[in-house]
Amino acid sequence: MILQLLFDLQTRLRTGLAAGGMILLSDPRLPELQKKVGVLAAKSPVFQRLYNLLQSLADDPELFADRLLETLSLLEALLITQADWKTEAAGEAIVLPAEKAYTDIRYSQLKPLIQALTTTGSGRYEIIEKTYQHHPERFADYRVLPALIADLDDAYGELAELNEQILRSCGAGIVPFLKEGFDPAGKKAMLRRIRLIVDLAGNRENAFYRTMVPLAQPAILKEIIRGLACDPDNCDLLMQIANNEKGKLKETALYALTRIRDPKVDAFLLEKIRKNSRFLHYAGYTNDPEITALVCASVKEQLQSVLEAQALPTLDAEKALIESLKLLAYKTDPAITELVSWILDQDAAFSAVRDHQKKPFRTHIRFARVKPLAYLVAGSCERTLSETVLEIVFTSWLADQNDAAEALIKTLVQRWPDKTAALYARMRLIQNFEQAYEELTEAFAGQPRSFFNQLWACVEYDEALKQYVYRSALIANPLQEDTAVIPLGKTFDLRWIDLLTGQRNVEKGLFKKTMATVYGAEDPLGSSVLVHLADPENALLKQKLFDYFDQRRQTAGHLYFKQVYGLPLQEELLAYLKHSAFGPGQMAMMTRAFCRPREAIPVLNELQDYWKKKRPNAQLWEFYVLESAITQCEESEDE
Amino acid sequence: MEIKESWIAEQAVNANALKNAKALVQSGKFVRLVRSEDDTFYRGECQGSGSSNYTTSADFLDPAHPVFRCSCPSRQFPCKHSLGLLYAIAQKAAFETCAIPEDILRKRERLAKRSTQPETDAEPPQAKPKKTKKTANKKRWLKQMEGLDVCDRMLRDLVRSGVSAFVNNSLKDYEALAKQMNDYYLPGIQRQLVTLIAAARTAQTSEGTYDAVFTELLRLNQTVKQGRQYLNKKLQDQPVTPEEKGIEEGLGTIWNLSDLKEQGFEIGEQSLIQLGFRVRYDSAHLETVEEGFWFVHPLNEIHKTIHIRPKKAEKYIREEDSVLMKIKAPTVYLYPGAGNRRLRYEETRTTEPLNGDDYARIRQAAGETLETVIKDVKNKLKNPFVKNEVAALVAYAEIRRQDEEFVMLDRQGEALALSPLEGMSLMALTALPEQKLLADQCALLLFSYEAQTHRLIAKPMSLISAEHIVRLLY
Repeated sequence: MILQLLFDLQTRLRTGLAAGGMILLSDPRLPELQKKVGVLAAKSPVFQRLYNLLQSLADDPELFADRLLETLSLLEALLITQADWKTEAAGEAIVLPAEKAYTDIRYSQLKPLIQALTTTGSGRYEIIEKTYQHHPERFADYRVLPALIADLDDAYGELAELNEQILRSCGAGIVPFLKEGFDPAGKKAMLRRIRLIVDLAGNRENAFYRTMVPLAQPAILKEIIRGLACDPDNCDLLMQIANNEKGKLKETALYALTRIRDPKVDAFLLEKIRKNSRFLHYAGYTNDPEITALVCASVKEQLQSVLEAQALPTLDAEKALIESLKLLAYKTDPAITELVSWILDQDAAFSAVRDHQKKPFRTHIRFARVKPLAYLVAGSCERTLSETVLEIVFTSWLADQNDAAEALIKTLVQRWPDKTAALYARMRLIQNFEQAYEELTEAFAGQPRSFFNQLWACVEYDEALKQYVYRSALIANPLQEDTAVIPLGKTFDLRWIDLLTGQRNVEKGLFKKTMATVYGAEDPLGSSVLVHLADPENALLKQKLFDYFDQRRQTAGHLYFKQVYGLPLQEELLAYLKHSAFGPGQMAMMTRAFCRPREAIPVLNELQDYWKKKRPNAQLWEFYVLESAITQCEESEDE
Repeated sequence: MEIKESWIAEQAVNANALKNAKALVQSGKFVRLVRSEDDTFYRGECQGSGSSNYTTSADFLDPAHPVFRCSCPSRQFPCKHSLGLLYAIAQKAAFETCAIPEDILRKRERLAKRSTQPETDAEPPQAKPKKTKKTANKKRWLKQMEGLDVCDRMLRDLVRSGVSAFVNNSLKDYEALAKQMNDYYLPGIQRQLVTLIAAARTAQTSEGTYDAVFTELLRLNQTVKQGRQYLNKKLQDQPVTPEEKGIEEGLGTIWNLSDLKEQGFEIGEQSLIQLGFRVRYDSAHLETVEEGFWFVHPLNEIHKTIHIRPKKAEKYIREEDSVLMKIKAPTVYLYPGAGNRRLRYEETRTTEPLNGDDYARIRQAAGETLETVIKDVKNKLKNPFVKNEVAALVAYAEIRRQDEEFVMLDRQGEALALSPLEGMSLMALTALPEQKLLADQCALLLFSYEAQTHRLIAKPMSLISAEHIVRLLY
């Protein structure tokens, strides 16, 4: 009551002050309020003072301004003493996702980064990129995150991209920051935010996605739909979107639906397919027998026309065929066995099909998802049509490793043991990693070394998990990439290294020297496999690899091997670069990739001298590239 | 000579100067480096953009107050060459030995003379200079009174014509008046006028929200009123209380340490622990304000350091930084005023890491219940000169979250809603290093009053446990 009186009085006085002059005195509401204050004046000296001041407003026009300001000052002070602060003790306890170490980072350390993120102008990209290279942990600091997230709408598109990439690497802990102030009707920055939320949180933020659906603008809704696909409970909502929306949103909702394995979804899809066969396109993940039958029939029809024409005349036709083949993934119905058998029967005919360039048709899907080695590209991944189909079938098993998929593979192995050898060997390696050596070397005794290299192409030692893992891409729809990461075990049978390095042959004389070489006697896939198998804590393995690579000093594999084990590699790098056909730019890049700034400086200096001798008439920019790399290393070293 | 890189960083005006200094050393721009045999004098010749080399030197005769000299034209002090020389010393570069040059010896002598002068001089006749000062002061006070009258007239006119008319005015006359205040030795009034004009400009674009204009107007009126009373007392040689001296800042008195000492605003032997640090840009006055919030012990109060860098001279004034160590200052100067007073400490101080006792003292100084802390805060906020912001330590039982809102609960179950400081997100509370920080600890909160909602706003700046100070800002 008293508070309302004070508010009313404040409004009157403020209005009078805003309007000016003596208008306030002619306001009929003021005497009313004055009377009410008068009643309170008897009880409190503060109200007595306020009453006196109000009374004195009209006394002397000369003093009106003084008194008005004084009255308002008193009133404001009174209101401050009455300010609300209590709130409901609601809410829930905060549970930290993970505890971490305390960091004492001073303002001066964070300032350049925060300034780069919150201001405009040139040079900011470099600051952010360098800080990310040298102090990635600073980006996960809760003092930097708000600025980093706010800068997702940077006018400089590349910088916004970089920020998104950095945020993605910070992990799921930043999701609350991304959700704070999220505007589903917003523009590009909000689109980046929701993309990050979906990628980092998956179905954990399902409630958030559902609340955002009615408010979201189309581009953001597309990302939200991607998030909704993570929870099977959303299938009704997704079906509703797929029915009500058009164009890209409808397509996205359909793709999202197909990721949900639910009889309701299968029925929905089947109904759509029956009305229009183009909906077969969304049958990627389902294992429904009826849909599978329809998919098989469609694929077979397509393949038969390819066989008849013996050619795929356009690139689009090739892409369409590959997309159709991908629909065979995640299906284990006997119809699939039949179709794959038919394809394998026609293997020779399919191998002869010509692509749009009149060359034999081959697919190039890269399944391996092991850590990329930039200067050691592990060969090509060219496959015939039947090999591609087998790989697709194999990913069905990789996805859930269920009995039905295993039975399907075993059936195929029984019928075509030669064609399915690679497939079966990989399955057994995954199932029986630590004891696979005997079984596989015995079963595949006559195979060349390249067979065993292929066997290990998707295996690597994972430092975070402290064990070997099989890491392969799965067949996915355009909404989201999927990778299967299957833990294999900690113990590694060293006899594999003898086999892979040629120290021990399965059958004498079978290994041939026909493998592709990269700047020296190197089999890129073989070297890449060995580097990926290197376990920094396994001394025996280290010794074996050391012996092998020591005889191949001028190879990229050797450099990677030394990098894994933290061994000095400057000399080998120099020798490698001098023997390579690289230009100064690539030399500088490679040096910076393999060496820390302090170690890179002498290598770069020597390369500069070497280049001067080798190409005395070289263009100035060639030297500038090396010079600039040296400067950058010097600067990085400072930081 | 042992020099740590952290010490060099403290000497630098800004991070760029440090970076450039390092680059000078690394790229071998120092063509000659010499030092005296007693390790008190170092000199380097550094290649620059000019035709001749710059000569830079560092004199460590008094290691606590080294003297840097350089022949370069830079206005930054110490310049990048001086800092480069320090890096060369820190990195143990090869210095040749040399005799200390004549000119340096002469400069040292002069310095020594200057520092010993007060002791060696005979007792000065003190009455005479004091009289001169008094006359000058009187003249100044009269001029200030004149300025306050001008400002008062302006306020009356403004009230007569109405705030609305003032806001929609071109404001040029008021800007001219603000400039004029400097002629009346009233830079404080000038600042307040500039703030009032900035608030009016904001109101022009924010559809007549005059809250900030009213607040500034009332503050200015209070300053004029209290300033007159204060000056009248001074002119009539009446004694003034330390509390009354708080108005000096409003008028624009620039306190130096000797003035503060003379007027009894010094306190001996205090430990200073920085609980929070923030930097804000004041667009009205075109300056960067760096504020450190300190726990002062044994005073057991929260006060703040304020460091202002005008935009024009930003490059040449050293930036402040967060201080993570405890500072033991033989003398601390507290400016007169209310709320969290501005503090300064002499450069001759020592630093040491914080220990368990320090954290315990901070926790003891924290208010046990929200009720008592807020009562005190409200009383302080009433004073227009605290500029609507008071920092206080509060013990809390728990911090909870409801959607995007965060509340702090005390042991009596009372809850206070938290708001974020500018540049921070309260989501920081979900990314703390340890779970235990969310219960039974204490926090430094910045309180302010929001007129529109009639609520007290509490912004957490840091959380203090028995082992750590977790800064939510810097």
